[in-house]
Amino acid sequence: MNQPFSEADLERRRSASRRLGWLLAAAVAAIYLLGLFIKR
Amino acid sequence: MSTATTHAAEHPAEHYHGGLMRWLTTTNHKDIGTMYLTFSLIMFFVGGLMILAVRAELFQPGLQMMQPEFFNQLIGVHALVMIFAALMPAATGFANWMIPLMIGAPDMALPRLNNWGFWLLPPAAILLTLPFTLALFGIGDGAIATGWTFYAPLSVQGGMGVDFAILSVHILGISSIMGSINIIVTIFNMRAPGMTMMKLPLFAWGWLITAFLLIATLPVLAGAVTMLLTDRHFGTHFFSAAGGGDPILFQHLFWFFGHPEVYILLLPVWGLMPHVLSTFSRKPTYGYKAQVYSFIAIGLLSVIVWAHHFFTAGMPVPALIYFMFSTMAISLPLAVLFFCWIATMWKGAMTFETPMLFAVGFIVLFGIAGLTGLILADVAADAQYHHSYFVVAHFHYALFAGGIMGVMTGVYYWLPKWTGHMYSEKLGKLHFWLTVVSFNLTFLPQFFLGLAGMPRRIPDYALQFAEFNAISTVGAFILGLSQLIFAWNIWSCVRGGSKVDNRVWEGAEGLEWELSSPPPHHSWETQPVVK
Repeated sequence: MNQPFSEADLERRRSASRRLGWLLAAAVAAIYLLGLFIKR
Repeated sequence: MSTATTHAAEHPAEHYHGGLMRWLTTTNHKDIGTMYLTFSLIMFFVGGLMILAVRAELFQPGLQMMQPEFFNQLIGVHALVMIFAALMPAATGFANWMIPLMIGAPDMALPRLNNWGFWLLPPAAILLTLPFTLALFGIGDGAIATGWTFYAPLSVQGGMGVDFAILSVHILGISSIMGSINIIVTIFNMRAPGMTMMKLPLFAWGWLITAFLLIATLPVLAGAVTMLLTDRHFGTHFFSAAGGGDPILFQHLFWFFGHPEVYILLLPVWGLMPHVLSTFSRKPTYGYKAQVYSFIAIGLLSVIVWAHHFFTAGMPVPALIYFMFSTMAISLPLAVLFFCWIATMWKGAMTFETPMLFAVGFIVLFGIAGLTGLILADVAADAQYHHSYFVVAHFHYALFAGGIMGVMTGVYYWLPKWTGHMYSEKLGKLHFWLTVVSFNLTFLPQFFLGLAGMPRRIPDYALQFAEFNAISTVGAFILGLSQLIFAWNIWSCVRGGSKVDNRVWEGAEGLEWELSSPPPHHSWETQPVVK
């Protein structure tokens, strides 16, 4: 019998997702801004 | 707490709104997937109409219908619309609809971000096309006329259509990055118990690599067009030779994004193909791991080959040789994919429903794109073919036969699951045959035009090119009209039709086929266990 998703499990998964999401967003911002500091 | 309550807490808006507000505020992955796909279909027709006007102008030599400036605007916006507003949203629509169903998740991990990701698209599309309308009222000189590549210095000197396109591309990029972040975190964090990464459906694998490519390369495009904006309005000289800048720098930055973009458009389709081929061959997918590793290899190689797009701009011989061989190296993992697709069908109990027809058509026609791509990767040969219609034909075999026909494969494959109704097979097959024949009628002659020396992006041409251009235009109009059958078939299927079972196709395997058709409002209220 399959188990329902528990509130705690979903919250744990979504918290991990938010953390990784911010990390990826920071990577995007870093790549975007990095170009300004490359000596041309 | 009950499962239903859990989901209600995560999707507060959808329980209180109907009508338009439901679509504006929805956080449900299926609603958002539907919006992406609908938007994509609309923009497919908008981009298609633009290029039909172009093909009408090219029906015979001389200027018949429009001035060269308007011709160039139509070509550039056609490409931007088809790439950013039709193909990419279609793939994101598939991801939204199918990834949670395939991995056993109740929804995408970040539903509100998902809503934002979609609703950035319509204003961006309006910005891209608005300069056409403004020009009708005497405001500005029309849309961007540089082609989709924004090459400097032409784009530095262009009218306000360039500014609209720069702003639009920024917004489209932000939307794509939001979608990519959501897809990555959903795949990493929301999989059902037992679904290890090496049990992940290949469609999700294809999208995972796509999402990482978007995150790595879109900021570079955004940076390039921001620098272009500052060159245009704030006195910088990044791309201006007169001010000590370098126009070729723009080409490097653009194609660092632009070449992976090809795989961004194609990887979701390559991920989808094994599902369709396996279903209609009634055999397990051949070479699951080989396909996963090929996706990863193609993703890595795609970011180190960009300069083959401008061999003729001039670069040191060692660089030419490096970019030639690295480009050719992509054909190795791609050949592995082709082998796996064919091996999946080999000795299978094949039937040819519409999705399978499109999948087989995709393999044959996309194969032509791959082979002609190898020719263009050759530095010596490219000197002749560069900026000719050979290139136009090549990338339409890649992006129409590979991309759009891949999307059509997915639509026919999953539409019964999404709607609970079967589409008309008769119309589907008619759509397939008309599309394949007219597509080849349109683009096969363009290989010969290119080989004979006809340059791209010109509204007039020498008499020697007249016959092939006339054939190409007739093909384009049949191709365009054929797509009305596609739209009608989708519309009819959404409105009604014979009911389908959970497992729509006899040979279909995967979690998504265990849910009802259409799936319940909240997908996967209980956790499936993958053995």
